[in-house]
Amino acid sequence: MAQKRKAREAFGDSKGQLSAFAAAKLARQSAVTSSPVLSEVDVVPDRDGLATAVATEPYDGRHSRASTPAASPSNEEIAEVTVTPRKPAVTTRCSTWQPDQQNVSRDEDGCLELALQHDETATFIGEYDVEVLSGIVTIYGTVLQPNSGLQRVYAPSTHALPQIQARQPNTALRLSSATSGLRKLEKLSPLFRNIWASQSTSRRSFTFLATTDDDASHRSLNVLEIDRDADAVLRTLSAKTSVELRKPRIMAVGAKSSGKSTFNRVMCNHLYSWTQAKKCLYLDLDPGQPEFGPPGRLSLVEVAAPVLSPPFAHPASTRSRSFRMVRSHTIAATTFRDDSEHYKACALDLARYVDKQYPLIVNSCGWVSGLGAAMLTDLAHDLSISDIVVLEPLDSRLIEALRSPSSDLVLHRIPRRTPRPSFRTPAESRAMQMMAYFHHKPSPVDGNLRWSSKAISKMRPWVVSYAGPDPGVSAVASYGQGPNPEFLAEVLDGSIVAIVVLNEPKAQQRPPSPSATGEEKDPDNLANHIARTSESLPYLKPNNHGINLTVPPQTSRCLALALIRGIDTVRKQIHLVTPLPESEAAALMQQKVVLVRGVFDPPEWAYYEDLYKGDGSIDAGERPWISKKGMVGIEGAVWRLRHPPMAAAVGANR
Amino acid sequence: MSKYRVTPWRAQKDLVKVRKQLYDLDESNIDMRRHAVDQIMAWKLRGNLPHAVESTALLVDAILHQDTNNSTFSIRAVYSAAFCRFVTGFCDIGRHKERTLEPSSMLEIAKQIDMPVHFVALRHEATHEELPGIQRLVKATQEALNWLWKVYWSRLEEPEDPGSIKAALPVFKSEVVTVLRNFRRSRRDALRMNVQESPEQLEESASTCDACIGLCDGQQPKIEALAEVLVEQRLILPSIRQLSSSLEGAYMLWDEFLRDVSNRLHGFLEALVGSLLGCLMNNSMVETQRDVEKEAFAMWLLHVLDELVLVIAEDRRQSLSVMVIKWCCLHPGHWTQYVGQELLRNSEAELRADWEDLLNASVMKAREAPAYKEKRGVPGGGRDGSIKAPLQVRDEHLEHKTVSWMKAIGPVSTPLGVVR
Repeated sequence: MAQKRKAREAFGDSKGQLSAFAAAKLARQSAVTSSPVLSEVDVVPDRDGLATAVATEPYDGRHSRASTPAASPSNEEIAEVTVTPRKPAVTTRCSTWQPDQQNVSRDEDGCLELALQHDETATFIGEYDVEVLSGIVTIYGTVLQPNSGLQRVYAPSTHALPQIQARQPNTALRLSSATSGLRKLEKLSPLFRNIWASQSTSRRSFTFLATTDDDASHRSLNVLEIDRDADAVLRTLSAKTSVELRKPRIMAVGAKSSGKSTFNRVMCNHLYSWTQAKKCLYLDLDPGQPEFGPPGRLSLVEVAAPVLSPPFAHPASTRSRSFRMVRSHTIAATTFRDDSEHYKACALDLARYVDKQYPLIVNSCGWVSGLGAAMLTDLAHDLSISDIVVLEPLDSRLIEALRSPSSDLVLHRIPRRTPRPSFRTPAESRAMQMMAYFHHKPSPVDGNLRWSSKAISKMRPWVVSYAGPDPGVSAVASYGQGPNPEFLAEVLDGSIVAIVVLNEPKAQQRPPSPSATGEEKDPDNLANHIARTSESLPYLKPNNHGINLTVPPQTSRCLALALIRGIDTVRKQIHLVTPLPESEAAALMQQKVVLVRGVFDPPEWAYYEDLYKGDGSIDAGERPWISKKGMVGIEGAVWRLRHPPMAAAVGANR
Repeated sequence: MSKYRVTPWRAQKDLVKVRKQLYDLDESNIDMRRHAVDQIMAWKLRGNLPHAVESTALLVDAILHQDTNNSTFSIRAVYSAAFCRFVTGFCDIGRHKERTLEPSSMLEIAKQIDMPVHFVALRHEATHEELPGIQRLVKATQEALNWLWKVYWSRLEEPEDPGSIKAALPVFKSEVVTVLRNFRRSRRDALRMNVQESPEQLEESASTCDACIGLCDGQQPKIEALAEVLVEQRLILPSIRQLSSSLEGAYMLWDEFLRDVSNRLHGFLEALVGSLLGCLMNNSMVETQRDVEKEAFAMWLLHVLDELVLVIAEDRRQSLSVMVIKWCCLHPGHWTQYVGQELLRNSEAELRADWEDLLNASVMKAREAPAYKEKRGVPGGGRDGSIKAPLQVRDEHLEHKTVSWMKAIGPVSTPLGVVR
């Protein structure tokens, strides 16, 4: 033991700089080359410790995980762990406009009025409302004029910053501070920390940037640029929309982080500005990074306003006039690889609701090989796509396959651009989107969205009965792999589910009578597949082949996602937190509701929120699913159980 | 630096229990391995399952699958699949942790983590050559389970046994009472001589606080017991007092100490409020309104919520107020009503809006039901595993129907996953 401790001291706390493995490797090399006399035990770190460190890691392909709060959540400590200001590698010019005495007419706490000359650009970081007082500007591919009114822009450092460019001489603008509450999410998660205007230098919620070096927090920043090639494609498609009777159906195809979602967003804005209807439909088919909702949802959204923010800042809803949710389904996963048939069925069902008088933009997945490529080809055909925008590089065989089914399909190519560094991993982006979704307040019909900084554990839950004569939940469905029913409640507790309503009215619900006739054996009727766990939780049984059933998209729709906050097995009630407006949630009483669980990312952000907020530490009573690191492994005290496993008992099959 | 992690199990004891079942350490003769494997597969669906736990479950599942009813191929295939995932996972994670540009080979990683190299060889064989024979697979699986025991399962930290803490409580209480009695005596003398602000007195207060914190040892049940002792042993009450006379003397005696303890012992203030609330409900022979003791407890409660809470964070203050007001609504009586009304009078509009009607309604309901009996209990506890329903509102016209979707009223104060 003494030797082991010595070894650990020799390598110190290798947090971050050099992994224990690299250290061991290095040590072994140096031991061999420089001092062969040195006994190996002295230099090689505790090997069991290394193995234990590996043993404690999950093996699920989500290796890059969000950082976790420090045990004593003092702010400095958290800041140290999570915010590492990166010096920008390259300085980029973001604005040609420079403030001086002539071109700034008003400079107050919450407000800035500026005059721009023709073609001058200005870039701001943060959140703000922009209003054109005279002249014309473009931002994010959309055109703003004095009659466009106030437009809310969210420009966090995690995404490319939009530029405001004057398109007429003597253009005047007013920018004003916005307080949506989105910024306050930084209290609840480091993912949202240090992404807005630096508060130390600005009294406003936004800051002007002449170059990326101007940033007071020294963050790496990107500027949203629409290059010539992309601009040409945008113009062609807008022109086509204005001229042709049959409105185009556009699908951008490209690998992950090829700029697909940015292109789609700018395309929306272009269509908004350059077509008469000022509307387009958006078929959101990327369950990993959807544009208008939380991960795991597929939806059809009517876009009737420019999209001037990253996805986490504009969830669609049925009541919103800007981004109206037409219909939505869930695959309860961030990829369709486990059930591509169901994914396709959902996509095709959504497509049936497309109003043909408006152009359609399809947000496809960035999965462009194997099964993903086959799905893209199928969708291009089945959705009657008229225009495919290829973001190069793309496998030429896929391009051929996309082109082949219909002859009047037009291909537009955008050459490869230098990839931008992304500041969040895909898993982190999903967590941000999910978290922002759960914190947004039910949207007003008009006006801007607001976010609540109340920790999710403090939000008032809905109490929903799952048994009794008039249950609020008809069944729980597991998409993909399901647990043994004995453990269903345990798996559900604290996890994310989708609220899916069936078309059939509740009155039709009849308990299956024991004298089963042919009609009641109807395999399409989900009621015939419902069984109950020992806690009386109703669930959909797998079919005879052990495969879990999905709710048919033709006769159902997904209303919202919810977090199961707790299950009261005595009163047979599920407590759930959902951003669904109260009236819509209360209306669920009249409907048949299925809660769908699947492979949503575990909502770790939700478990950490009140710890980050500094409210209560882990020592204060029961806190499920959270433990201090070092409960097992090299970091903490090692507690060995003396007796080894009884080999005979484990090996023998009784 | 100690940090938190999310685990698929609710508490460490669940993992320790599964270990017992998997490695058959139980004294009973019931084979719980199937149950343990299913449990772990359910944890897998929750995410964040350590690879060692998953591997153990897969290997044990393979053992359970070895049945003469199954074909030889299927037995070999299940053993091989479990073994391959076990080895590949360890090597992949090791490689990922290595963070070098040129990743080591599986064999190199295995050497570094001291995994027997023939595990890697067997994995290679099962993947690229013929499936190994049953006999070898059984032997390797056993070795793998032993190795996993060594690197993971044997290192689990045992959770503190709640039974042993409980057993130690009576001794703890008597020790702490002695400390507190001595402190009270010394403070009384100081007050009489008007030297309560002297450095010696501050020192005394600090050292008493240290002593109590030391005795509590960070254990929640002991922190609660400390609060209980202060209240139930009447330590914080003056020995002789008239109805509606002031408690200033008692506050002066205890405030410094209580502030110090609340500041340093997490959860103490909640426990103190809980104990005070519990005492408002005690039945005594004295007519309620004229009960000097209950009046004193009610006044203390308001004093705590007014003054002492300032040492804790805003959020905790709010949930403390909510806990008190909820308790007052659920246990209508003269003194709870008094405390509830006073609390609402001095609090923010939001709390008033949420609770005022309910508090008024609660007292009316109590009058309608004269048979209503006050029950004794400590709010905010619930650690006994009992489930308390959240308050629910019902619309008038839905009175007799069960409402299947209902929004809980009143803010929630339990962490995620805890229903009360």
